[in-house]
Amino acid sequence: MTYQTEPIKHFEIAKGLRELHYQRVMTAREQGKLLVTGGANMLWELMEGLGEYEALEGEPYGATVAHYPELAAVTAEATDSSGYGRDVCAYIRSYWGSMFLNRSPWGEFPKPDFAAHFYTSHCGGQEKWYRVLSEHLDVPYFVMDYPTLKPRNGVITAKQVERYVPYLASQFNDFIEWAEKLTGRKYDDEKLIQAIVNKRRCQMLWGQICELQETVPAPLNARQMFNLIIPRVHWATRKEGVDFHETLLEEVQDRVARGIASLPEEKGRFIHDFVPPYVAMDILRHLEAYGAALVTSMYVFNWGYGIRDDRTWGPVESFGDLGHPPRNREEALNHMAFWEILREPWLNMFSPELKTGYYVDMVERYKCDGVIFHINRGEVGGVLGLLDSRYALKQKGIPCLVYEASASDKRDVDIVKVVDGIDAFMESLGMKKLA
Amino acid sequence: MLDRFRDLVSNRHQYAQEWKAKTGGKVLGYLCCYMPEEVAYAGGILPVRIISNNEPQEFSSVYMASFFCPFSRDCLGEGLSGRYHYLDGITVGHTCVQINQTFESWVLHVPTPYSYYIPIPGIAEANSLKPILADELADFQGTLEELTGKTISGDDLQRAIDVYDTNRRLLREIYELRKADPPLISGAETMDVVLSSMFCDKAEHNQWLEELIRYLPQRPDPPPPGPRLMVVGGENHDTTLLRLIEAQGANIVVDDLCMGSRYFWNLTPPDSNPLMAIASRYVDKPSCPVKDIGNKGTDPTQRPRYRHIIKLAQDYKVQGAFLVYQKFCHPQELDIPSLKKIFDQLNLPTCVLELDTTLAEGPTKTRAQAFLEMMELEVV
Repeated sequence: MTYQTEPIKHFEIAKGLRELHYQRVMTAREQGKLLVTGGANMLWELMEGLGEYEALEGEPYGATVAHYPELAAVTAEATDSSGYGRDVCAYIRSYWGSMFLNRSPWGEFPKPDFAAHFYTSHCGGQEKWYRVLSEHLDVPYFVMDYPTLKPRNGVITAKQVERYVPYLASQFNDFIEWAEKLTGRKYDDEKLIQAIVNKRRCQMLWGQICELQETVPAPLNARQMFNLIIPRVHWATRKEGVDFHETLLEEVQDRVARGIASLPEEKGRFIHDFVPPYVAMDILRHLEAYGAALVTSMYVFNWGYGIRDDRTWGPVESFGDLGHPPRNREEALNHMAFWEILREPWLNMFSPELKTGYYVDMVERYKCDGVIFHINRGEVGGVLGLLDSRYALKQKGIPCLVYEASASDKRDVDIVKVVDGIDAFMESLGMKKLA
Repeated sequence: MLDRFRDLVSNRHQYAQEWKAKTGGKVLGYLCCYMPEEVAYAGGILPVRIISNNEPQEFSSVYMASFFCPFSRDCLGEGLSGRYHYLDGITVGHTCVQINQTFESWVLHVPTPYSYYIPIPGIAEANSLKPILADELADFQGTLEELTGKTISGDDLQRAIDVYDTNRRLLREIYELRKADPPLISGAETMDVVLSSMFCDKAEHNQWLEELIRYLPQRPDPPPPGPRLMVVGGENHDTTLLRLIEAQGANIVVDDLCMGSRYFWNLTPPDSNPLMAIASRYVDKPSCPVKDIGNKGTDPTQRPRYRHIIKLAQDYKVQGAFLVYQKFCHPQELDIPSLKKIFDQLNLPTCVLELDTTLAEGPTKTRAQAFLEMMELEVV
């Protein structure tokens, strides 16, 4: 059966927003805004209370640098020659290379006012990422420590919630006091609260968008979704982010209603995890050539909805812990801490057992024919438990393909080998390249 | 005298099984030195550290990616191969991603009756952490009581703390003997001594250490004089490396390794609540790179880990250092460039060695020789 397809309007909008984001980053300091760097999982809502700022998030910046072939090569080599191993996460190497060379895609490296990081310790290099920046550029650095609770049985105990909510909330408060002192700015609690409200709204909207992927044919494919998450990464705490997600949801709902597909022929449906091979998206196109629709992924779901009390992933009441949106700083910080401990879907950090359960559930809900795993070289956090899950899924009779590539270092991608693996996998499923 | 320590390391599986047969007690395997062993020891359990065997193996590649460090993969391989069949349980205190993966895969694929993961947060706000960790340890204690069917009392915990602290004090005394020039014990021998403490009943090990401390000042074959070196790194327990370096005429006089001084360096502070005391000890222990996150400034010499390393280098009057790390160990390897700078500022030359499953003896020997020759030239 052949489906009707048409371009996603928000695909171009998302690209435009990304360009606008980096324009803002590059001009932030001259416009009197703060420029702050940190991980994509930094709790940027905390920053909003400090007033005007822009965020230079490490992972998307690393991926963006890697998008420019000449810059990608020289930045990676600059990091290599500074004594850091080739095996380290390629995002970090692109980012650091840009810093060491003082070159970005748009001029000099945008030196931040300070670095702030929410250290989830899911990746060996995360804390060092901004530590090296801090020491190289003489930029102050604040680290907040997230306790990795590893709920193998799926349950975070009430005792642990009681234990770690105050632990996190007090660190958030320390950060605010530190940042006020450093910047001389007065912290605005109202802006913090509005940012949290916006972020939760974006999470719920993105969750709904992800759920629409259960439809056959799927309205979006993985390549599109990897691009559509960008505004969520940069602006979830802002009204612009909410507006984007509201209209995106409308567009996807409309596609579902009209039966618009992402691929003209959907011969098979697959989960694709983990991070995409941004420097080798031909891999995904090669899959599409077989009519393989990559309909869902834990990676893109990581930003939507929340984890419910029974540890399933889905809609949750955004402010269920308080019964209402936060009214003051204390409530806001406690809510944030509660959310991070109990609700935030850190799916990549769950134990293999729990993760496998999610995959099995997703295969069923999204009517998938198999799971395709991308082993992103150097990203130990993303790969955590992935092969255990592959093994468990195979035991359950769910076909799996594992390919090794890179999110942002083309030198680590053996495209011929990957394509050979895909061809063999597709053949084993009885799928043929479309005419 | 020193052979018994080395033999114990070689025969660690046999020792644990004999201990088990003799005492009827449980044996608990653990990964990483952030696991508070005292709590288990208080319950009459023998904690034994799981280490790799430095042999090529393919068992773990089904579950762990090729770019996880050889140590983490080999530890899992040891479990999958059945060498730790006698364990009654396995545990880990939260550490690097790679060791966590070893733990998770072990629990799934190596039949082991008991498993427990202790969430030990990073050491960002040390004081607020201590009561939290003490609470976690109470939970851990509860599960051990279920495992053994025995209650662990406050006195049991205090006795365990005393035995462990005695061991730590005695190991510190051995390290003190390395301040002499030449040291009274070589780096490789010391590593055997420290490693053996990770597999042995600490009360028994304490007796051995006391005998060793009496023996060393009068040993007939002390190490010959040579350049005084330090080894800095992570999960390195391959004494072949140290023997190879020392065979070139150097003395390794101190280390900052998790299989070395970091394992035992600090004592337990007094506290009326023994779990709080244990928690404080683990929070305050010399940091591994994963936990070294407390510095808000931009001066690397103020990182808690580096402050400790600098002090060791000065106290032991080292003249150079080997910076070693397991291939793919990101926390360690990302510290290497800044650590190198720190040693440069101290006018101490460094040699970086990347370790794999097995030691490439020829190339490593050549590098060690070249490094020592370079040091001699610098002295001239």
